[in-house]
Amino acid sequence: MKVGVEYFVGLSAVLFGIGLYGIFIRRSPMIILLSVELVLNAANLALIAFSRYRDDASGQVFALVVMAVAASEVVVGLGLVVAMSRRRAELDVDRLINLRN
Amino acid sequence: METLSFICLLMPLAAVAALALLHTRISRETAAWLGTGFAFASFAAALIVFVGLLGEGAGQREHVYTLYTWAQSSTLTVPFDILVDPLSAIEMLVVSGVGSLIVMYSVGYMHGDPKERRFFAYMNLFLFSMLLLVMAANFVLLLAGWGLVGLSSYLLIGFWHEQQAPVKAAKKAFVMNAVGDVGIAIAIFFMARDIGTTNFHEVFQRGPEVWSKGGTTANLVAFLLLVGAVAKSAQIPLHTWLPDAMEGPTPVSALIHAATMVTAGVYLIARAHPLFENAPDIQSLVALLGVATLLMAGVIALVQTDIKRIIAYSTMSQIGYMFTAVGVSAYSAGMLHLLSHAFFKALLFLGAGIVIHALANEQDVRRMGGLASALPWTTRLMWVGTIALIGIWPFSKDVVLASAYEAHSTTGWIVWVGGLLGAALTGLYATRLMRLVFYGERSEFAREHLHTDHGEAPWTMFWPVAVLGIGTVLAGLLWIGFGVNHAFATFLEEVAPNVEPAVSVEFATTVIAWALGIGGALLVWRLYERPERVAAVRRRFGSLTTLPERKFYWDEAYDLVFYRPAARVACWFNAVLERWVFGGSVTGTAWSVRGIGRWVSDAQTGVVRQYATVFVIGAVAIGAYLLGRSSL
Amino acid sequence: MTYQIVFGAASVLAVVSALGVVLSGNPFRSALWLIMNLASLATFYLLLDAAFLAAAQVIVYAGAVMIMFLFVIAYLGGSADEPTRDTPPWQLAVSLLAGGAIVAEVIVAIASHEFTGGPDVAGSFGSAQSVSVPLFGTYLLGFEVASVVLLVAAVGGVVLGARRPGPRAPGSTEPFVPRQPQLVPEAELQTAVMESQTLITPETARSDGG
Repeated sequence: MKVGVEYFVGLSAVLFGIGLYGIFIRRSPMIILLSVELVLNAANLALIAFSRYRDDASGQVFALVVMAVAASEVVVGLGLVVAMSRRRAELDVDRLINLRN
Repeated sequence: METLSFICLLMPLAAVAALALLHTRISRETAAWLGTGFAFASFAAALIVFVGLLGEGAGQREHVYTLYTWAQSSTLTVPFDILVDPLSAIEMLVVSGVGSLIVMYSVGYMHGDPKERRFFAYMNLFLFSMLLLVMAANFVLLLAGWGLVGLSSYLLIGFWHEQQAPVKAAKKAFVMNAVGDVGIAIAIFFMARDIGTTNFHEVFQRGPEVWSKGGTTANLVAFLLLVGAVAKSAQIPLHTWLPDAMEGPTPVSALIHAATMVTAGVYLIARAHPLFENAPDIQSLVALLGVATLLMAGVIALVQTDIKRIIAYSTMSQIGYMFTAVGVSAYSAGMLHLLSHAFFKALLFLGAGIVIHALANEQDVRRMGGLASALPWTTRLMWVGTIALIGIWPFSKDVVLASAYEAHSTTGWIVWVGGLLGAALTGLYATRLMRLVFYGERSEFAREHLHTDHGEAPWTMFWPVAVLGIGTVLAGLLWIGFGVNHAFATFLEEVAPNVEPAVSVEFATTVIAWALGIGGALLVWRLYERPERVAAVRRRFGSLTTLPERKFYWDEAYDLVFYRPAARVACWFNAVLERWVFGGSVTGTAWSVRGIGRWVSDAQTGVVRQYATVFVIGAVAIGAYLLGRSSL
Repeated sequence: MTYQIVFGAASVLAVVSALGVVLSGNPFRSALWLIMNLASLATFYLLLDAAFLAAAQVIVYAGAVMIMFLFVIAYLGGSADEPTRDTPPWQLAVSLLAGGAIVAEVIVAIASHEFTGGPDVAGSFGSAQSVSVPLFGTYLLGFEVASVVLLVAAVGGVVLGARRPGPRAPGSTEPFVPRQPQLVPEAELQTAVMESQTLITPETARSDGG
């Protein structure tokens, strides 16, 4: 590998951190979902980097499955957002506390 | 004979089952006659067994029949065995014979009572229990019968349970009997430990071998059995329940508390006499308790105003005589007295029942009087009973006393003197009863309430009394004494031996007893002829009557010593233990669970970001742990 | 040399676009930034010889998922906008700390380990065939489960999105009031039952004489 795997993993960590920051800071569910995507992609990067480093395709398989799961999760999440907006709920995670207690 | 014995035992049980199952489907009268029929069937079976036993030669009269093995453990086997021998045969006859007469009497007495069917079921339950008691061939089965008899007594005393007095009396009887049950149970423990079985045969043979005569264990076992006998037979100190038991219907008083159950103690001692012979001190105690009871009860009977209670104390006194008999090893004499007492005491009670019935349930003798003209036959039969009670020949119970004298021991002397004094007392109170109830001027109350429109009594009530009267006379003839007729003693010999008094002793004793008895009777008679004499006596001896009137303060003493502390403890348990510990633990558990749940649910704020934060913190922690482990 | 330059450029792009996602005020812009991020990631995959995955990334992720996002954002219109952003400083600190902690951990993990240079891989590494063989072979179960997950998600999406006649008239503008949770009433305690039972006191029962 021309660039050491550590750089890829480090980058993945940084992207992960930025995604986490987004999850914590933002209040719109849409943006949070986007940040989650960011996190998942960062994980994918790490997986594929190690897959290359180990010369083992399992990492790539795993990354593929992660992509599938991420897609499903996005579907459900967006469906929730649409349903909420239909009920004229405010799209603010701090207000959506029906699960309290 | 085996089948018949079991029929005798189980007929009353079948009656209970039939009455319980048929319940309201049969009329009250049918139920009453059904109960009576089963009782008589039991008696018929007992009679045939007895005749069969007579036919056998001496030494062959002991039969043990097994139904099945009731309980079995590694250390103790308890078979359902019944023992048919002269002693139990006599008891069977008494229980089923007198029992069925009384049950028949109840048809008339309990007529119209709303719970009549239940009564006859209970009576038959009692008959079964008592038969089980006397026919048992081992101590455990005897204890079973013992307890069942106590139960039947409780049920029957408290028969009119809507009122408070019968219920209290029933509880009192049951609790005191329970003390006796414990005594017998512990004795059984000793037998199981030292002999390995409770079968009569083995226990009586090996008991004296295993427990040295007069040794601690021997004394203990005999004493424990004595406790049971004392409780059941209402002797001092466990006697206070018997007068209260008069709250039950009169047939109950007649059957249970005169003729049969209360004599169970005597039967027990007679049956277990080898164990008592093995503990002579305890046997003396038996005799002494008997003397004490017969004197005390006689005195109390003298001042009682309730007709049933007079007869109840008389019963207590007469059982005291029986205790003295078995206490001096005169077992046949004691059994004879038991037999004849069953007849005449039942007679007296049932006669009293006729009086009560005729006077609309009045039981106070001060409101009676002059009833002889209205109830002539009853009066005559009651005289038969009274004469038998006082012990005038040929209804002699003085063989007992004579045998006691023969023992030539201190105890024997005390029994002799006490017994003779008791004869005087008996004469006094028995005659007093007759005089107050049947003679003299009829009281106002009697004049108003007496109703004999249907004759003296319904035939179902009258004829049993009459038969009992005949039985009393016959029982007296069984033992004329003076060495003439010893069939009874011989019959019982191998099971319950006797002490033979010298003829001269017997003669002397009888004469003295007669003199005292008849003297007492005449004294009372003359006394009550003039009311002013009665008043004079009352003035002079007035202060003395408090003690017997308060029954020598036994009840008050027990209340103070046992009942109040126990009630206090129970209250404390209820207030503290029940409320705080048990109740508290239950409510505390509920409360704490709810509290924890509430506390935990506080963590669920519903704010997604908080959840995310917790996630991440957890992830960081795990990551740090893994990093640390992989040795940087 | 080209390799490292491409890597550097792509990484800069990735970080910048990630920041753009989380910092942008407008969800539409955020989505667009994310698309750029995905593109840079695809570049990384290519650099790592994972050609198939790079293609999948572009087609599935950038192509399908993001389009879905954009559709929904367009549907929501203005209501998707962020409400007023006033984050308390402590929240800022906590999130920075959390994110920073993860990053730090990973950096520590990497730094402490000696990575040898990666092996040379066969030319077929990362091709569709080399990915699909393990996918349908060793990891068949995972594949099947993943397809079930997709199915469930699809059904869920339809269910969530379907218009159902609600209790309100269509077009009304009543606010959505969440249902208040019901508190369980205090259960009857055992002591209430105990108290109703009669207490035994020394006064209530005595032995009477006849």
